[in-house]
Amino acid sequence: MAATNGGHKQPSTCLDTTSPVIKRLGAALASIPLYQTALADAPPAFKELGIRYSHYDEDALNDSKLIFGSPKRYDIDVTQLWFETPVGGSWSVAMDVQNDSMSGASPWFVGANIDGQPGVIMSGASIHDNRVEVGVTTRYFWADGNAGFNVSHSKEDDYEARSMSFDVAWNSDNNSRTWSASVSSSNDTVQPVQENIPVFIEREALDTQSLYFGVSQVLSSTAIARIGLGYTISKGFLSDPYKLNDKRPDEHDRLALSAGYRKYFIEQRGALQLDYRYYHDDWGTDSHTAEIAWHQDIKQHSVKPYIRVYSQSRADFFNPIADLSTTYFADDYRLSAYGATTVGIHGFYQLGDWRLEAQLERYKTDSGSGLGGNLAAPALVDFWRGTIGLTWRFD
Amino acid sequence: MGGPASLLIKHKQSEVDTAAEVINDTVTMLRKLESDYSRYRKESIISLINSRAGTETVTPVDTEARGLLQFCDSLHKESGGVFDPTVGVLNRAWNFRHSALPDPSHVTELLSFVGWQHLELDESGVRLGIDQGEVDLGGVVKEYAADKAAAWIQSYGMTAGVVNLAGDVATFGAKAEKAPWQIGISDPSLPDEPVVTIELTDACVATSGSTQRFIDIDGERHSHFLSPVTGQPIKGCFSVSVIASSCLLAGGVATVACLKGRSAATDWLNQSGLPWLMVENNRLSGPIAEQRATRQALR
Repeated sequence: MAATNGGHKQPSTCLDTTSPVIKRLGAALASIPLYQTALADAPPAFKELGIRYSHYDEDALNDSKLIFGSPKRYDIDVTQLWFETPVGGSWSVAMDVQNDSMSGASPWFVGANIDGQPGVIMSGASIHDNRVEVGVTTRYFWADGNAGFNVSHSKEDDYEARSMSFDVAWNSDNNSRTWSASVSSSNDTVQPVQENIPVFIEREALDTQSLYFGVSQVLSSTAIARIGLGYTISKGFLSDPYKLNDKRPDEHDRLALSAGYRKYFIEQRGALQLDYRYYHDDWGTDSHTAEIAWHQDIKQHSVKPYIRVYSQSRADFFNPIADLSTTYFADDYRLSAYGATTVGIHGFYQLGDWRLEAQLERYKTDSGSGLGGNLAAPALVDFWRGTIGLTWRFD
Repeated sequence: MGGPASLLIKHKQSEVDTAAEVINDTVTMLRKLESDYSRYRKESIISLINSRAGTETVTPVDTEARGLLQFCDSLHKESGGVFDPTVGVLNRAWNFRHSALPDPSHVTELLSFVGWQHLELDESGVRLGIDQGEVDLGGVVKEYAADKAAAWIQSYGMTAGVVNLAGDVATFGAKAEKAPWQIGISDPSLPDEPVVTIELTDACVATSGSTQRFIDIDGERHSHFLSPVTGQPIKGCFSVSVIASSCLLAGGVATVACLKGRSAATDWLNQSGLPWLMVENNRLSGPIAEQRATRQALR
């Protein structure tokens, strides 16, 4: 046959197949040193536009724990919109917009009921609040890594936050190890709104800085592990202005150690995911978080059931009924000793360039599962959270 | 590498001497690679593994050989077992040059030595657990060599070129600004007669099969690919070309298509999601051919 001209033009995206067969063969290629260099960092090969909606619904407070007010707690609707695009051969830009719409009541303070047991006085009529957050991230890619810079701003009736962060990831020569680091700073203003309950401050500020350092290591062609250490310091007004009995230190130092392991099973087309986090702060709280998940590929779709277990000790100045004789005091359940279990499932359905996402999660607290004794808070919260999302990738 | 090979490097006028050195170094590397995996060289990794077949002796292998064997294992699984680098022992019975049919009992006897499941690979090395078994990586080494040569040349700072090893082609960079490389796809038995020309930039094309090497059995044409299950040649005589980001991946998909036979090849190729071309009885089919036909119709 004679040669012909003007054949098949080959843009790189024609080779971005989502075929599970090719993905598995590609994973096998990664065990050959030659192809590990080909996995060097690069900006995304396509643009991505996504939208996600979550509904968060707290269980009503148990009547036996309620002294006054409505037992109904918070509902939050979160809508996220994001867009990411490569720019040139080495850059990408992403923009995120999030809107949180919140309604409901929260505990105002904890008192003693007629039996002398702690009971909750709620904040009265349901509040309605709306928060909008906008963030922009620009990222630069080179052969051995990538670096990103993010600025974001969020505003709601009583709170405004401005933050920026910088992160970098660097790959070793054979791409088997990735070092990552990040630094961030946030400057927040709290200006509580006096509605159903009195507030005793007009306007306060707080600043937060954090630092993170981590490393991930490819253990084999099907396994990877990571470890990371984060440090965060907040200074300024750290108390909750909507709680009657809440006076916290004006500095809060936090340390978090995290580790993770991923193992892919080729024949089963699935991956085991294990994660652990240890947290410690200078308010006296320690916590452990452990999560186990199974990621299952189903053709080009996937589903991931998971379970997460959490346990924390109480802050030094926490009491179920705040002790006002001490310098610092709080009855906020989030500072109490408690445990929690989260059970969830997260699925992705791929349809050409579109990806549908759905997630359902149930979070249940247990006052008896805290670290270091009880002093249980009566206002521990249980909730449901459901999420759906749609992502579109295009050239 | 079983056929003509060419290395093409785009370079500045001032880099003529450097480019010549790069070519020489790359040829040296390719010869060593071919030698390392040759069945005909006693000291090669493959010969050592085969000479110890059926014994308890484990042959240590380096990361590269281990990775190639793991890729073969993955391809064996994904192909449903039709891709089997231990099938070469059957060539002792079959002779495609003379179209003579072998003694069936000889084929049956040789078939007992075939089986990828007899190859054990662990941290200590490789062992072929069946006496008289043979492993042959010729089906993947040529495509791997094309990828390695392209990376080798780029490591010297060269940014554009074409590596063509007997029809397995790896390109990097572009011929000129907005001008991709023009690559002709041929039947491997007729390398000088391209059936279609494609444009590639930083992509590879590998071709497997042949419309010229075949054997007639009961009036039906069979290719020179042998089934590791029946010991018989695969029905159908066609060639398949696949485009992918690496030659090894393209060649693996193309080879499996030929091994699956005509009736199952199309499903396999479509499942891969990669651009492909099939040539059979002078007819072209597949996404590459369809796009070419569309362009011609629109002229």
